[in-house]
Amino acid sequence: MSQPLNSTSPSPISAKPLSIRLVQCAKTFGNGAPALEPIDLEIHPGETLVLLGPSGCGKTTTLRLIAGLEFPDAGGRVMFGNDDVTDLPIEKRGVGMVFQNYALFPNMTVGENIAYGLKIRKMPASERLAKIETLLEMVHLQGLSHRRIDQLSGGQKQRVALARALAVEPKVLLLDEPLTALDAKLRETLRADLNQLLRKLGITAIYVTHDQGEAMALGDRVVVMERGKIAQIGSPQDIYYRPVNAFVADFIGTMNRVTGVGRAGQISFSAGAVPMASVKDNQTMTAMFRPEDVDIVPLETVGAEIFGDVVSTFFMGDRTRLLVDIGDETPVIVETRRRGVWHAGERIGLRVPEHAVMQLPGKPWEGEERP
Amino acid sequence: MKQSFRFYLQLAFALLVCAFLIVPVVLSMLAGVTENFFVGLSSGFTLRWVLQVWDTYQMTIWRSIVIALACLAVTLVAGVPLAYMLARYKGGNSRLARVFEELLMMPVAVPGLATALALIMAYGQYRAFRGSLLFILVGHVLFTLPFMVRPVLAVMQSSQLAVLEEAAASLGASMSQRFFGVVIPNVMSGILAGALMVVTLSVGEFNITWMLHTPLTMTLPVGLADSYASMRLEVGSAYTLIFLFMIIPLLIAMQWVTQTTRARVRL
Repeated sequence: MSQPLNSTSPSPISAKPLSIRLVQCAKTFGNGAPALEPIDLEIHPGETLVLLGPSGCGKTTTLRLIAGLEFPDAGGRVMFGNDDVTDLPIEKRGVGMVFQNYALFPNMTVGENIAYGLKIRKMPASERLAKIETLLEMVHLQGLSHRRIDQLSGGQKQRVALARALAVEPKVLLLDEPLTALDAKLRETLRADLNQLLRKLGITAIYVTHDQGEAMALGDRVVVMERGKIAQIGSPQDIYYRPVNAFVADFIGTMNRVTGVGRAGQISFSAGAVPMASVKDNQTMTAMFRPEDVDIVPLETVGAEIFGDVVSTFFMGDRTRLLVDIGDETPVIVETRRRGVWHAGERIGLRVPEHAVMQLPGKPWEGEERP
Repeated sequence: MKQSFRFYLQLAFALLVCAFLIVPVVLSMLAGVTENFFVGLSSGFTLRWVLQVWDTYQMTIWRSIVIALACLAVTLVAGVPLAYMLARYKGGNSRLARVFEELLMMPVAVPGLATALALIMAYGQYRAFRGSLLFILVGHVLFTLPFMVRPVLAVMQSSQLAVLEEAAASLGASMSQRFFGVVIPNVMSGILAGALMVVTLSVGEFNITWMLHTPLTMTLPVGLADSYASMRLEVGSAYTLIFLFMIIPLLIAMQWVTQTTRARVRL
């Protein structure tokens, strides 16, 4: 399934990629609850933009505004290139859409599903057949044109849905949690295929997910959303290494945090210290670091180390995850690729390299619940 | 000991069901083909009574079939879009839609005689209309419409129809293209179940029809009552026999559709 995409097959997308702009788009639903605060968002031509966030954060609403399945509150505008499409319904916008539950027509075969949009556009039958073949080849489902939908696996269904959406040569491809319904292994192969496909087609794509791994892997840029607002926009690296607030830091990956007092370029606390050049003496400060950035060091080293007791260990094959009690409420999480065996109750030393220590801009961390 | 008590209880129940459900039907059917039911089966079997019914009441049978089909056509054209509207209005969780759905059931809950009387009071002065089959049809549509709307609505609510329609719309399909190309084919099982129900109920409807009918618009069940009141028992029974032969295939088909619907909804 994950063989490279056939580069000789003609690309089904011929149109020039489109830029999309949301201007002050807000959405309030009937019951008066705002689903989306007014947001501005620019999507560059040909990029894959991922909308990432927990459920209820407004990511799906944003996608539906772009699709034309919802309309923004008065004052909001949706621009496709230079065209204002705010008042156009979805069938006039020329978008391709892929849904979480596939949304394939159960009364039609695979081929009929793919050709549905072409039939609506009155494409002659012979051309339709040729196009179905091209698209099936593109999604690695050659020869399945006459299958019934209920004879397909979940992964195959989503491939058909993708082919169907691309058949009409949409200006933009909208994907609403397309891999969520699949099991983990399949999700990974389909993700890789999807990634290749999006790069090859160069189509503007907007991808909604709550899975940060998917967001990192697929997005040229990632928009992290929280409670109807955009929390951060940036490349996956930006989001991961330079989160702008506690929410983003906690939502993307796992983050440790320690609070201490500045002392000689370190943040120092009862269990030890982490380096931070910018800290002023006696300033209270919270530092954050990723579990994979922590080194396990011998107990006798002297410097900016933390000492703690191993609470529990999880061997995960490629790495080992340790929970280390350093006297705080929440243990420090450490992930190491070293081949060692650690036991609960064992005392170990930890060192965080200075480049891995993050500090949120603004005031020191206000202890917030982890999601 | 307890086990055997339960066994006898179940046996008694089964026999009771037989006594009241099956025995009268079988007796009635036998009466229709018996030479003289008071003498007993020993008097011999005959198709005379069936032929007499066919000669006398043939028109009521054709009339019932015509009305049932017309009723089906009207409930299809009115009921399926209505179910669609109820399913989709305000995203499908509108209280108004629920209230409307309950209101639809009113003619089923209210005695048919009352419905019919109200119809006569409201429209009886239009003589031509009053005397035509259309008047009967109106009564039947009132009574059968919910039986079309409900199964169709149930299928619409249980399938992921809304998202299928969104997918069709994203591919450029207009409202009518979506309705006929996506909605109708995917709620076919509900439509079929509703259609069989409507035809069955319309063929058997008595209360409203009895009140609304004229000698020229008599339907099969009203004809049955007429024959029971004024003819030999054997003739009435033969008439029942014909009615059963009309209705049983419909009932079997309904059972079959219900089963396939269950299989489809899981999809």
